[in-house]
Amino acid sequence: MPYKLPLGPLHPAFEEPYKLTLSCKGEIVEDAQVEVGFVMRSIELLAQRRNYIRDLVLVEHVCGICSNVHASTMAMAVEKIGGITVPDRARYIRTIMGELERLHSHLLWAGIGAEDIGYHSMFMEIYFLRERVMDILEAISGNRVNYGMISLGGVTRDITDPKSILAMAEEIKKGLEKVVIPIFTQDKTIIARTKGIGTLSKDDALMYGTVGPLARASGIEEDIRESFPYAAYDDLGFKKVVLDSCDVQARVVVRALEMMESIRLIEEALKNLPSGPIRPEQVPLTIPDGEATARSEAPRGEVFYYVKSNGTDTPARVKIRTPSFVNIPSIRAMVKGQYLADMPLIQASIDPCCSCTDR
Amino acid sequence: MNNWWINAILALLFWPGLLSGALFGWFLLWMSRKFIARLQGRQGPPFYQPFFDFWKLIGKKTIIPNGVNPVLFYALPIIGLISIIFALALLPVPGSSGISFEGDLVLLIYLIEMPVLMDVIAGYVTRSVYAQVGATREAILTIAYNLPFLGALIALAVRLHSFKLATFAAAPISIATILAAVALFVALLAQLKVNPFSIPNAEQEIVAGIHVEYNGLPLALFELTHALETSLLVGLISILFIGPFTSIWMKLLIFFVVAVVVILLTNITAAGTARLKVQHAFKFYWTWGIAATVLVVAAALIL
Amino acid sequence: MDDRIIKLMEQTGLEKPEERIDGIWFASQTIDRQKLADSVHKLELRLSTATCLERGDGEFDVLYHFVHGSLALNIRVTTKNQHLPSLAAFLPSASWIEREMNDLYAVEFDGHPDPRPLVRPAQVPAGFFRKSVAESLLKESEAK
Repeated sequence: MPYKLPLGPLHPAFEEPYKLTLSCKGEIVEDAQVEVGFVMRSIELLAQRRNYIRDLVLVEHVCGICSNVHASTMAMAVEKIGGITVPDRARYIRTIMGELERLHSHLLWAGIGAEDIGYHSMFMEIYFLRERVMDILEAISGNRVNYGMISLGGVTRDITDPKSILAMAEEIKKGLEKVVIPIFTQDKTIIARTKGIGTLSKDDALMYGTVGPLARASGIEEDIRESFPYAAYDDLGFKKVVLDSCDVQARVVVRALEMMESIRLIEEALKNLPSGPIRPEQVPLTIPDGEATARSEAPRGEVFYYVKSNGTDTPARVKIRTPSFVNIPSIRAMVKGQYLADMPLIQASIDPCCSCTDR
Repeated sequence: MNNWWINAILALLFWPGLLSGALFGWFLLWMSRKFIARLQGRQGPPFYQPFFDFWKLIGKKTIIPNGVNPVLFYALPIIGLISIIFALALLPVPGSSGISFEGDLVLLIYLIEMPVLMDVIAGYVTRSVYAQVGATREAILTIAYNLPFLGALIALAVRLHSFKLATFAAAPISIATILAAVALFVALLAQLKVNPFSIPNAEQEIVAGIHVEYNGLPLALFELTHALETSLLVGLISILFIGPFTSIWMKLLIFFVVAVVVILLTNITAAGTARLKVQHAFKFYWTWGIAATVLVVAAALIL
Repeated sequence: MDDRIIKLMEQTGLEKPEERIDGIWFASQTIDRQKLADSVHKLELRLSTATCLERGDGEFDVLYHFVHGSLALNIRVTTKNQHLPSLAAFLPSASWIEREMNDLYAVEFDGHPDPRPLVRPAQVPAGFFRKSVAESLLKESEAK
């Protein structure tokens, strides 16, 4: 007998409110309807009413987890229009912030993934590690969630003591190598729950326009840090992680290996931190007429900004495309014919962020 | 005859029945929580926490969901509770004044199944899809874990030529009893609904499943039943090891130690695994469960 | 110029590319949506998003942003009576983008397979990102 099972908007397995209506037959899911829009805040509209300096703070609030990347991508777009060059040290610090944020986001995701399959011990271990990442973020920026590090043309705060941060990064690296990666790649119950589940073929991934770890786990060779480097990725060298097994396990492994790459980038950037100013002496308050797009790789995938300026201190239009906006619809392609028991894990495997999606 | 009644009532209400069963069950449940918390780097609750949980639920207002028969809503947990109390009274723990007769094992098996049956019915009557999915899962899981559970008990009964539980408690420890204890332990994981078999009450999948619409007093009764079930099922493993000892205090000590060890082993398994799916669990019990059963039967007949 | 752009121009009839610091820009009024969808799918270009801009004369500019690696391709089209042919009918990734644009700017996409509201709360009218509507909504909430 077919029946409809609602997951959400509020559900123990979801971080944020959105709704999946599953049409099931027994324990098999036949189709899913996705509804979003529960946390819409009209940030794009608000951004058109504030000046550029306040906008950088505003767009940080698009997402509670990948906040830094929004500010930095917006800054990139505005810098393109205004022709502002970013000093080397600021480029490196932006990279370090971006990678720390990725680490923190992937760890958060791993914890929730573990919780969704009832693996509470793993959840505790991972959140303990994530706490260390947030300690580093706090040491650098003074904040644990919305960092306020990005200013037009540079960053607001300098890294004064790279050595102590290197030591903290070393501790996280050990935790990742000893606990997180072995368990996620070798534990039998985890493999039983993830292998061959929630398959998203490469063709579907392209059709839905998916981005980020989700796309890379489906064999799409796309990482903007490598193909169109920004910040300091060109100097540091970057290797993307691509797998083509297309299932939840591939997404787990892609994220696990990305965390290792992030740690490497952070250490490299801290060791080679160039000296110099962290922002230009004079940053214009008004930006000349023009329009520009900017893209960067957030933890969940590619963030896209379009900024149009009309020569005043307020943007005429800010368009934000977050990775979850394209990733969430692809849930529909993944769930068909899957078991109901796998639904929390499948939806978690794309790392949906509803604040991002609704803005 | 009068004496028999007094003994029976004592067994039902005090030892090993309701009172001591609840206390022992709460103690074991608290130990699981504390132990898992310590494994996960958390503090864990104080030992009286399960009692407070129960007391709090009793004090809450009970809301009966629309369209659910109130008699049925209350009757299901009560029937489950009463059957588990009777089952506990049959358990030949040391010092029990209890009821014992040839064939009480069969009665015990029936009574153990009652709360499970009540759970499944409760899942269906509360008209929530989550509860219904949970009930289906529980029903499927019952078929799975009963294979090693019944297999082990029947093999022991064949070996001891008796369906009387007291014979089990008096039997010497042999390879057959140890194997039977292992088979019972394997079934215990699913009976207590802990990881990797916390499938019918999966919080993240079906919002805790069967009891999702239950609250207040009826939920408290379900929780109490769960505590009694814990002491009964763990006690059932424990009594297999008290045979060789003569002194009652020694018997009690061994009973207690084995119970604690069983609970710790359960929780090590629970803390180190993720939740499986129903079909995984079914496959597990129908391959490893059958293997364990065959081993127990072979050991019982040959050794 | 990238091979993909040349192929895309051949297949869809786009012309006069404008190269800028952040990619290639096209403007076209007549582009065939089916051809565009087929062509971008063949060339593995992903639809990143579409931006809606108010022109001031009651019409809207819609910018389709396609990406592939370092390549960024932007196509500008203009609405006619606030109507546009839908791309979502041929490209699933455009579905949510067009639904959202319909919520925010009340641009109608003809032939959209699933034209329900996406993010708009029930109590606000469609097109609440339009300058005039946004201003009046704001005044209303201030008056309260």
